[in-house]
Amino acid sequence: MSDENFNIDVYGRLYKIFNEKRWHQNINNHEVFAGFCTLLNNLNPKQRELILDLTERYLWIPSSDYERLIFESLELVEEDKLKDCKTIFFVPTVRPEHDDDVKSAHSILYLMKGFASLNRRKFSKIKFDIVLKLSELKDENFKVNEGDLIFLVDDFLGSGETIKAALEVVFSNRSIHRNIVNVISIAAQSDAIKFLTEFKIPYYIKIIREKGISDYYSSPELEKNVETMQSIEKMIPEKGFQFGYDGSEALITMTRTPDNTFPIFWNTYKNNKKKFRGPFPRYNSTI
Amino acid sequence: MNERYLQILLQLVKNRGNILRLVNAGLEHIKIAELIAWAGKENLIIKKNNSIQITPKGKERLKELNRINKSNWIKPEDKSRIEQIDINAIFVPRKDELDLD
Repeated sequence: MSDENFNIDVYGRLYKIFNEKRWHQNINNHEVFAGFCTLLNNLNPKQRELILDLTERYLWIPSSDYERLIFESLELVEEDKLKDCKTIFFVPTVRPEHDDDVKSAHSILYLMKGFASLNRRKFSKIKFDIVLKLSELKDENFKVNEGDLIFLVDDFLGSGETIKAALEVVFSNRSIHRNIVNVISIAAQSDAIKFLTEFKIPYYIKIIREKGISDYYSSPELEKNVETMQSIEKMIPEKGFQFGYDGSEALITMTRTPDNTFPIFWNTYKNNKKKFRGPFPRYNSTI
Repeated sequence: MNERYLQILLQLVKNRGNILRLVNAGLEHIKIAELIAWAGKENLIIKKNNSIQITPKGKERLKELNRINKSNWIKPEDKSRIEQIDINAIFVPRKDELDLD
């Protein structure tokens, strides 16, 4: 009976995780904490253990941390690369079909330009230009000159599909040579890194994340935890995001939670015919 | 310190009950942590082998609180609660469920 319950020891463990990660300082931390309590109360002991385990490795980056992380990502750019650089074009990393939407990449663009301008030691003599829409690069009038660099910008790269689609648009302009194209982001999943490495695109990314279950556990724990997560995800009515978009198995929340994160952390789930929201809801809908 | 909340806390530490009983009683999630910390400081509960347990002092305090708070002399039997049916629903009990003696 006792272990079936969301008892004081489970509560204490969750509270300790919040404390150690300093999540209590984040805006909305009360709602997120309550969301975790509700989730843990809806799970059986085995499922609860896995969620707590994953939560220990979960990364919640509030936008107040963006300044520091963007600064640190820019610090990764080699001095050598900038030696003869005249202009850097910051371009949002979006899928072509989302070119008219406001995506997280756009908020990063502005911060990126601001911080690069502040870092006079590294970026002096370089002009910064923001390209608001990816499609502008397709225009024949968009010409790059010698010494120009293009930086595709985002806050998070998940499965690599978005960056791949964006790069296809960039390279559709024949005047853009691939050795001037770079990618800069705060965080990325290892899948996106694999893609960039394979296509030899230089990247400057501060936080690189492995898959939450597949890259962490080894057999027989791995199979056991995959099975447990599958049983948890049965509670989610919306299908198509099993283990996160494209099976990314991400454990990350930024200003918004990417759909690459395990959906139990952000999607609506059902237990005993009642609906609940995950601790980091992506959707605004009421239940 | 709200004695009603303390009483529930000590009960559920003793019986390994569900912590959300405190939420249902009206305490915010984050306030539960403060209550636990306070009860620890007062030596009413203690962490032993990775588990939070009630101390002899806590048991005494619980007895005292149970005496004062008469609403707990008879605890509601939550497991027997059933969901309220709709006002227009027609309820026909099974014959063997009727007790007409």
